[in-house]
Amino acid sequence: MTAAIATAAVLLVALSFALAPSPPEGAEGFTGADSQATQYIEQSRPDYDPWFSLGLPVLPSQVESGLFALQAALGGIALGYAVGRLRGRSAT
Amino acid sequence: MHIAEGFLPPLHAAAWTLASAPFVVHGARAVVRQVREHPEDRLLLGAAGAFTFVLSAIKLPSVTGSSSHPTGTGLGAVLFRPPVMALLGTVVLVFQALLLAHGGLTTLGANAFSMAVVGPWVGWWTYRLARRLTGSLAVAVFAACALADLATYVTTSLQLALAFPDPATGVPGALAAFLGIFGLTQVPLAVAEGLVAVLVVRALVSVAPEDLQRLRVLRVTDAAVSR
Repeated sequence: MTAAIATAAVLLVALSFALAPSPPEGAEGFTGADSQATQYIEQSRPDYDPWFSLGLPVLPSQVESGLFALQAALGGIALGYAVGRLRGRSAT
Repeated sequence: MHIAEGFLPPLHAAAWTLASAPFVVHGARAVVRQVREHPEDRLLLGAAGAFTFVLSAIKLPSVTGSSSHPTGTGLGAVLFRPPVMALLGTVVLVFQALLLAHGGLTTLGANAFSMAVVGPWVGWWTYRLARRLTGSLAVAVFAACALADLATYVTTSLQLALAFPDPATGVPGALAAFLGIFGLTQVPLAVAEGLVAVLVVRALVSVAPEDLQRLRVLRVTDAAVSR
């Protein structure tokens, strides 16, 4: 049953990826929906300027991806630790 | 889900901050109370927060040709009820706003309202309803987490539509546009999130059945879940 659910989840994402329309010539595919919303706002309201910025450096996309991966990794470690401790606790 | 820094006009940003603040404060008190009265729940609480941490960081491709993040807030809402998620979700949002430039501090209130308040509450109600209708923990968890995810993005679409109504068609037109950007893209992600949440709950059931029974998530009649 676990294998079935896990397979279903993986297949869903894989199919989603495979069935997606190809990006137009030269453009990068699978742009984030968040950035699409930002672009939509910028296009429909050219006079709108983001009025606040934390002044953080704009990271190249690979570094940004790396930080997201780091966040996921930290969460994964915490989740694994919690499950492991719970298992150990109930074993005693 | 994560409205970018500065992309809500000051009035809206302030209004959403005011709207979500009481929930976050209440959530902080709920977390403190939970930890104080049931220190043995700290591990599960950490697991719920970690789940949100993981899922909100992963960018998944979608069938529409764009990509997006799941939210990961439904699981914590099912385990500990929504108030706790108001705080945990906000912590994740602050982390992402400061370290990843994802979301923002001006938009923290709005993002917290959609992801840490509306999402968990919709997830919780869905969980309760599905539990009552189907009696199955797995189905209820799946429905709760998938709908919590979708509800978050619908709320974000509404927040953006209210802030940027279409010059011709007004708020409804803008809402349709934003739902078009977020909505369909999110559906396979929400389903995937629901499935992953079921896997995590199955793991938790197998390692901590007494805790889940004490939290009234697992019932004696749920014997089949971890098989």
